[in-house]
Amino acid sequence: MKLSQIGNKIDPINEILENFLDDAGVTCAILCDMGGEILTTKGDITTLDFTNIAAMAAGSYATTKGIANLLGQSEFSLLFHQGTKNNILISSVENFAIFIILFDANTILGVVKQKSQEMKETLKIIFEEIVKGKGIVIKKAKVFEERDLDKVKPSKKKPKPAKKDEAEKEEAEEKDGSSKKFDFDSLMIDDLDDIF
Amino acid sequence: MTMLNYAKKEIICKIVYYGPGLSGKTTNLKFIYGKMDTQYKGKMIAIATETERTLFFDFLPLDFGKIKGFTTKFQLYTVPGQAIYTNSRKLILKGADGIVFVADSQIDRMDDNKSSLKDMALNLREQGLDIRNIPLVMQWNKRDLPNIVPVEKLEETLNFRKVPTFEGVAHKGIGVMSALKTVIKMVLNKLGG
Amino acid sequence: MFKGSKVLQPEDLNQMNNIIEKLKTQSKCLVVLIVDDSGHLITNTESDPSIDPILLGTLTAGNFGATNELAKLIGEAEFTLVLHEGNKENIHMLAIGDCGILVVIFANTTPIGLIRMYSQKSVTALLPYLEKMQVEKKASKKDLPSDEDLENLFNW
Repeated sequence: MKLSQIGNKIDPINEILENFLDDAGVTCAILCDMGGEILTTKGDITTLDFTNIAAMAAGSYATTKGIANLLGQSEFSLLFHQGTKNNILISSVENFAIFIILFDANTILGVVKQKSQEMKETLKIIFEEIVKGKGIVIKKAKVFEERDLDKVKPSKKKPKPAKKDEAEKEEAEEKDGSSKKFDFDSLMIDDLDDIF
Repeated sequence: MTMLNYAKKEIICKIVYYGPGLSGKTTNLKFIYGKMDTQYKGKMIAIATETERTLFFDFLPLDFGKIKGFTTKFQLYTVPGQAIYTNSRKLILKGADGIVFVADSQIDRMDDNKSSLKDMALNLREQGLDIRNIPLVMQWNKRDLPNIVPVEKLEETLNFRKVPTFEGVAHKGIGVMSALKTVIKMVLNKLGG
Repeated sequence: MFKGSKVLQPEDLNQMNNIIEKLKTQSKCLVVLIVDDSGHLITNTESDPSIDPILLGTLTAGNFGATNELAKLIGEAEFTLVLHEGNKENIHMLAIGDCGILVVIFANTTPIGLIRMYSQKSVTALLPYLEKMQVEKKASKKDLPSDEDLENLFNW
């Protein structure tokens, strides 16, 4: 969801984030749209390049979504990264927004997880109200060019070599196992013309 | 970086489409995806926002089958053009073997073309790659639009290396396959040299 | 010849396959992948044929790259643990030096401790093979264009 769509509902959203910071004892929280554009931030972010953090977190989140699709599960609901001092947790509120939580080693992960789950539920209600009130349709970003993932099969097909003599040469090479050397000189540039 | 896999008898190269936001990088890949015979292409991935702007990258694996005993594969990537995704662009360039720079021919996008080219030079350097010698072609896209910069001007301003260039209308496929084919040849020539 | 390319020899691939098969058995995970730093899939354990390992490799490499950038942005050299929790499966990723990534996908009923321990061992075992692939070192700093060089390239 875009900031322009949220309008004055940003106030209750900010309040929810503030409460979350207090309850969970985390350093800061960033809320951004699915593309990584900042919606709001709370907590101590003065030293952080939060624009880039949000953009990268969105990339990270989107790729895990792609992985989830590939593995046939709905999503990875929670991305957790542990560092030596700082930890980061990324999760989403449905397809409305992504939140990024930074916390240090003194904060208990279990608490952050639980409180963020609660925050997610409250944020979801607000986002749904906005959508309902303004008649906004939230589109899901698609990951694969071909939607039907059931059809995704490993490419086992073996395209036929363009020329017959090549096929024979290839077979001969395979038999004597001598193709350790790749012949770049008679390179496949001519063969490219056949393909294009 | 090219991977030469003797075990699987496979050679894999990485081609990156770079350029300012909305210059038509994804359109190039989509056209190639549509044009290529099924036997030569894998599934295309587009990590995009709900408004179909590239958020992280697009990916299209091409598999040209066995040529001279080796399965030859090219993996095409696009970078996200929007300013906020600078770190992503740097990541995608990692290990690139060849670049297609997609410029937007419109007069009011010239500054964006220039800053994207410069951004590319810096990001390549961060990945240990040199814009002065990496296989590179340029596409002057959107030639079908009004208010465009003449080709000579684009050449003069952007083509600092006098690399092969192509006039493009990516959504119609003009200048798309020729640019790809040329960069592939350059990559293979470099490997051979 | 092979200028600037990585070379993978059959015997090394065999060794790497042995390592990840062992990891799969010991840690009771579902799939293991090795992806190089350019996002190319090096090898993977046999898995569900409906999962395309090339796509999985690309997505995990992109994801790992993003995660590493995030680490830098919040002042960490790297994350010691990268974990994605799903409703059925979890993903654990580890850097293999600076040459590649080990990706382990496991059911969320499998203890993470087990996965971490065996993955770490595998990374140590895999590193020499991946380093060997890197036939050519990256261009050294002095070969790359200086700021001045770049300014001269584009005389706008």
